[in-house]
Amino acid sequence: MKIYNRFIVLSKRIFSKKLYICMLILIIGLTTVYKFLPERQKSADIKVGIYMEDNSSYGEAFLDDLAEANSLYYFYTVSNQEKLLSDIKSGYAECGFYIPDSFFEAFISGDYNNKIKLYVIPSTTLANAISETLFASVISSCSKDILVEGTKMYNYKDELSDRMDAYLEGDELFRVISATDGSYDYKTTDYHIDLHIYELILLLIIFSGLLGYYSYVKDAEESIYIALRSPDRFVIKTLYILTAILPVTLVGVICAIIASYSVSVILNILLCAVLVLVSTIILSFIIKKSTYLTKVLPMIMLIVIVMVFVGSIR
Amino acid sequence: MSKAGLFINLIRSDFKRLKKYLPSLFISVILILTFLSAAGIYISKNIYKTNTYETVRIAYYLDEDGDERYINFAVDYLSTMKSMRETSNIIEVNSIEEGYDLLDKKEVLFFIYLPAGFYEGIMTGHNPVVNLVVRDNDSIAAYITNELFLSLGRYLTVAQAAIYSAIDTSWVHEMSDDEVARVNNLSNKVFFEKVAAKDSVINVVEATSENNYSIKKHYEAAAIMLSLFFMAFILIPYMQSRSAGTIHKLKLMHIGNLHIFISNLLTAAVSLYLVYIPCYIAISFLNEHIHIAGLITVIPAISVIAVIVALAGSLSKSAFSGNLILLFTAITIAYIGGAIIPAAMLPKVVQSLSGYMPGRYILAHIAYSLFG
Repeated sequence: MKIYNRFIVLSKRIFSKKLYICMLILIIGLTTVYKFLPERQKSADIKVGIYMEDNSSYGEAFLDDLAEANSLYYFYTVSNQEKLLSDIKSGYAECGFYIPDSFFEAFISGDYNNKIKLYVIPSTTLANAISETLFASVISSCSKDILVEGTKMYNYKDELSDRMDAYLEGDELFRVISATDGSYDYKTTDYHIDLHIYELILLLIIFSGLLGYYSYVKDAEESIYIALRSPDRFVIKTLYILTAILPVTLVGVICAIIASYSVSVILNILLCAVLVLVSTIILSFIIKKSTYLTKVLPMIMLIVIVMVFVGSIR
Repeated sequence: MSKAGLFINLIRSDFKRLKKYLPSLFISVILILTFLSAAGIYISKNIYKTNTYETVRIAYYLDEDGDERYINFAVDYLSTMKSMRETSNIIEVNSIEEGYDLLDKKEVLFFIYLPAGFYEGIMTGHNPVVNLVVRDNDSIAAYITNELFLSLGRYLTVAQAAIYSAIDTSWVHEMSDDEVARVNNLSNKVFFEKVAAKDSVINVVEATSENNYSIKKHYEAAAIMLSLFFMAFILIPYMQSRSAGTIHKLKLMHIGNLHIFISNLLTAAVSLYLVYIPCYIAISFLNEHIHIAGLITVIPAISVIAVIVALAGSLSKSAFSGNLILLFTAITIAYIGGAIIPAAMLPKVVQSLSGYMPGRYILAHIAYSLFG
């Protein structure tokens, strides 16, 4: 009965903290809002960013050729390099090409030092396949001038150009016929923006346990429990930690139900609460003074935050 | 004693008190930096690793009467192309049946059958039919490989058009046989050279760099930034260790909260600068590069961190609440500044806030101070 009464008193003390209650209500509220947010659609198409600095007629011809190539990849142009890099880093684009000023002119004349930059990130896997499509358009868009420059037939430029057009429009040339039917049907996937509720609850349970112990230490240092025997003090200490953990755990379970998490996630939350209770009690045998706790607790919290974050990107 | 004299005495006594805290500051910074650097290196290696496509297996059959020498040259050329190497695995089969068998067993996705006289046909304009058989033309892998073949085919088409046009033009203008042969050779050569130049014209660059530093260096700088912030776990208890009696006495002598804040700020700045030095040495040693001017250029970044630490230490009611406030403030500043997750991966709202928060600038200054 005495334990029950103490539990009630400590719980009342926890629930008297308005900020804490607001935070718990906010978590439930946010979970509910996220649950009922309308689904979004995401296309799985492979986007490729292009930043063109070469504004010559070759550049325009190249973009036209790329647009007409009926490619599997969606090539789009951006207005600056920052946007190109940002799209690649954020995963919006599979990779990106930066075509420098006067690139085509240099390429035709045989100067390969004015290079195209192909920006990739470690998850980029198709960059070289995509660059074949792009490079085929590079060659195609300036092929007539490559021929004139390569054969030095400057006097017959227009003639060569007309003949090339005639050949390319005719059916005498070698052509690879597509082995696949039409354009690829990229599936659009419906998805929900998820709140990382599991990780958040895990962090809060650990923090609550530590703060529960901290408030016990502060009270004990004010000699409130000096008259009690050691086993009674242990019970009170456990109750401090337990009453701090319980509301967050309950909120975690409610959120897991709202978010339609599986039973195993709910069990994980409960198991985590038990583990935090036990480990905080173990910690209480190691660190007994609030002066040390003041320095150590933020360190522990920092380590926990980093571990949870690192775990979430695995 | 004048008010200024008292204020200087306060600063002097604060620096004297700081001496006691220096060993724990140095030990803590090394421990936190080691932990955060390890986490940073792990994040830098894993944050972009998602979404990979599998290599496609392609079988080809070369007719026994074919131009083996040229076809083998072409296959060797294709196999060494980066695009093919990364996308496909090319194997030769001994019969058409074997090729279809591999397709049925789902061991290959594409089967290419090159007829006899393929090379000669291309050169003379007969353009023999190449059979390209795909097992499953619904999969993305099939489409990727198909597009690769189409692109490679386009090179050949354009080159053929150019060569025929050059030869036709030289004939029309009644050039000598030697001249026609020269034009033929030159046009062949120039297109082969242009296609072969692809890998030297396209320069592959890692886009993971942040503010022109590699992702690893970015996280090293972020680890130092956060380590300096978290020195507050020692500095705030130090700032809060003045007794109520001392503060009351100071107030009687007209030394108010502002004076105390300035003294806290100075001690925080000096101690952060001192703990920055071993971090600077460690990172310079790891990167085998030292940027001497960095010892000066880091001062603005350290000053901003010191202001935040001094504010948390001076305004909070207890050391514990000060530490917690700083823990969450530092993480928020670092997050919005792109120190935890690369800026481009942050939500758009956070990205737009980034320019107004100090994190981005502190990080840029620290990175510049470390790596130049």
